[in-house]
Amino acid sequence: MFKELIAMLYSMIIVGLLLTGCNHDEKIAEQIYSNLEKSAQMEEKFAAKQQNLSELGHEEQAAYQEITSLTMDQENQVRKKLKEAQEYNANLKRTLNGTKESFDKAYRNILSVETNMEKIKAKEQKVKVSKIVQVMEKRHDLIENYYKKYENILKLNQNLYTCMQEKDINATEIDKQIKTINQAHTEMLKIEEQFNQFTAKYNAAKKQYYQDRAGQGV
Amino acid sequence: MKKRRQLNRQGKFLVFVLMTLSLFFIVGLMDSHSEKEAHKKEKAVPSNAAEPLIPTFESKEMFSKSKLNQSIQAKKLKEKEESVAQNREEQRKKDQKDKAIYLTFDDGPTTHTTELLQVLDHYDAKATFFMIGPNIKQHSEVVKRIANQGLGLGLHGISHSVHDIYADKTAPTKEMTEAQQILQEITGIRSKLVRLPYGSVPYLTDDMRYLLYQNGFKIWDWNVDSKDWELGDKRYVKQTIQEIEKLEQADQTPVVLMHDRKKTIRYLPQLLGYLKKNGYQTKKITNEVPALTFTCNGRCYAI
Repeated sequence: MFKELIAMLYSMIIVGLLLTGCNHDEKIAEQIYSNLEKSAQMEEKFAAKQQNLSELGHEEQAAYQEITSLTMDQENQVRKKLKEAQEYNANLKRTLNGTKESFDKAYRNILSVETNMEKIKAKEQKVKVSKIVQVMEKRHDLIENYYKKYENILKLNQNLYTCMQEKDINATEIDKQIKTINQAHTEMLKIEEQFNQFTAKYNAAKKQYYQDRAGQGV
Repeated sequence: MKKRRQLNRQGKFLVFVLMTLSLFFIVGLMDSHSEKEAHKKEKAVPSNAAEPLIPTFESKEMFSKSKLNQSIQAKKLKEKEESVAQNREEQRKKDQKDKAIYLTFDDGPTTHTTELLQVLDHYDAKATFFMIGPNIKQHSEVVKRIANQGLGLGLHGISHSVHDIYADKTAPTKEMTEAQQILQEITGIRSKLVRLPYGSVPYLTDDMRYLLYQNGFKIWDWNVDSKDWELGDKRYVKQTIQEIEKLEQADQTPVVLMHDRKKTIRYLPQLLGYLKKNGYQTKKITNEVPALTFTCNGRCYAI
């Protein structure tokens, strides 16, 4: 009878220890969750700034269209609009820097996830977290390249508006510049498309992780 | 026996206490576990999905096609034409004093050019040749003679085809630039003088004119059409003299259009004889003489 009671006690202790082990992974998961959420908040800021960029970009484009639809009889209006277009361009540059910063913060939060990931004992969970980190790395590489091209277009735009202010406008030279801008824009669209594909993958990887975590109870 | 029974009771009590504590511990753990489970279910879906990038830029339309550029070109063209007209007026005054006349020959050089040069030389007459690129290459020796004889050298394009030289806004400049290079290779002279096949009206549009001016060319038309090509015989001489006389009455300097062809050369001495008799001084066109150019005035159109 006494031996049976001792065996029962041991069993209870083992169950207790197992539950404590799960509790360890749970704490790590909580930290990961916290980083993911912080990163998601930064992504929200990033998306809002992207929206600002888009609106400013459309304003700049509208200014260019308006300038080119005027005539030399409206020279004062042309000069005024050229100045406006340059201001939009400068504003785009400032907003771009802020947008870049938001994404970098989101990225850094995911890098913190990577540190915690190593401590997870459950292999499947580890793989899922690793997938999130990998896709974010890819997004980071793409956005870096995207911003380089973006900055280049802003420089080209600046040159374009400077040339358009010259007294002796050279249409052939301006056309060359526009061709370069449009080419850079096409390249940017490709990166944009790739980035968006990886963003979809990123969201899917996150969703998978959250669902598994909820299902497995770790 | 009594002592042993007491120990068993203590042992049982101890085990009971331990079991009760373990039970509380396990239930506590399970409670905490199920609380976290519930919490996790709330977090099953990420609260914020990452957003895709929004396109910022749109492709820009080419500036050359814009209304602004067209108005800039029109303004510059107008300024250029006004400046040429002013310079021509000054030139007219000088030419009137000398009773100058500019004879021009298009489409050469040909196999007849040598004879033409002899006639001109015989009358000590100056003239200007607007030549076609491939003909310059083919008759390079004659071209050198034209240059050596101190006559004017001008360009008449490459194709002499309306469909080619007026194909698009850059075509006239391309053909004239090519002809210019050919002439320069042979004579070392860089001529800016151009005459468009069939004249600059109606096929030379404002775009084409603007580009030719941008490239430094001077567009020469005429104010006396000899109609040598159309009439085909000596009647062209009478026609030309009539036109010259009309211009003389209007105090204008004649710029005569003729062609480097056999029948024109055959009756040319009659015309040169008339000019000499009436005190005209034949002059060659140079890059410095302000060009006589037909203005479009809404008459020009693209083919």
